[in-house]
Amino acid sequence: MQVIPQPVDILTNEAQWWFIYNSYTSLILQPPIQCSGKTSSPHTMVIADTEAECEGYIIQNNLN
Amino acid sequence: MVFNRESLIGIYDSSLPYPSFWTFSLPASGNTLSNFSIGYTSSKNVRVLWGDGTNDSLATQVVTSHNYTNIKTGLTLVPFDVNRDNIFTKIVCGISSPALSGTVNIAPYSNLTFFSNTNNNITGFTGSQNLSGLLEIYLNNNSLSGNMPTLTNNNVLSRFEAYNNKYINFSGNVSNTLDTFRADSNLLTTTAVNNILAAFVSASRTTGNRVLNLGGSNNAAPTGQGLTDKSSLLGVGWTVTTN
Repeated sequence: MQVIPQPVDILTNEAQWWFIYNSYTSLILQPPIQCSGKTSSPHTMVIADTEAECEGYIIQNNLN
Repeated sequence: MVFNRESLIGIYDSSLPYPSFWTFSLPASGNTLSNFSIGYTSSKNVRVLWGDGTNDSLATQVVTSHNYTNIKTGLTLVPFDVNRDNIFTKIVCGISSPALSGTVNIAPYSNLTFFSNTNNNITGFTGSQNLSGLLEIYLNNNSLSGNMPTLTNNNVLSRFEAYNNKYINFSGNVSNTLDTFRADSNLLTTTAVNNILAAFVSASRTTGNRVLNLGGSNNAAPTGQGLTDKSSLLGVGWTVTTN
């Protein structure tokens, strides 16, 4: 799992799961998805191999 | 079975306008369509005419479902019918098996604020452009193609999602109320991607969710001004995904 603050053109492939959250408010801005492309954000990006990993991170960090 | 307006008039108050029909193309002869469902919010009681000779009168029902049997070849049924279209504020079309095809026109639903038809196989979606009260539109996982809906006049729209379709083009503006837009995994051209990025720069939204996803398989990558616009959006708090 990768946790990337303020990602700039971070490349994901179709197999990876990722989501975006605001580390100050703990709000999830983009729920976990599988989507290839290059993502940039002022928030925090989490990339994992499975949706379950994403959900685990969300629970562990009390994100909502 | 042929289902037409005239066959329905008897059950309606004659002082009301004729109902508008919302039609879907159903599977071929012998198939069964199961779990077809529609959820809605309306200001009045609603009668659902399933088109196979049965109907349900519902008061405050939120979601209703129906299983079709003995569907005839090539028949377009009328699964949903109302006495006045403008009583509806929310419509959610459920997932059937097999998936619904055909087209949907929501223009008659003048007070609609929420429309969702995801995970089906619809090929056309029209009538949203002049519905000024729309807040959310969900069209994900269908077979929509050609031009994306024009959003210029949807002045309070906050969320639009149409990922995993076959849309090619986009033009026009977006409201500065729109803070979540997903069109990933379509067939968007470079011009379309650049137009979308430019529309959001022009809208100048600097608060709220601010998620714009144009990535996924088969969308083109932005070029030139599009890349500049992507950077501009990042600078005002947007999360942007492109190819």
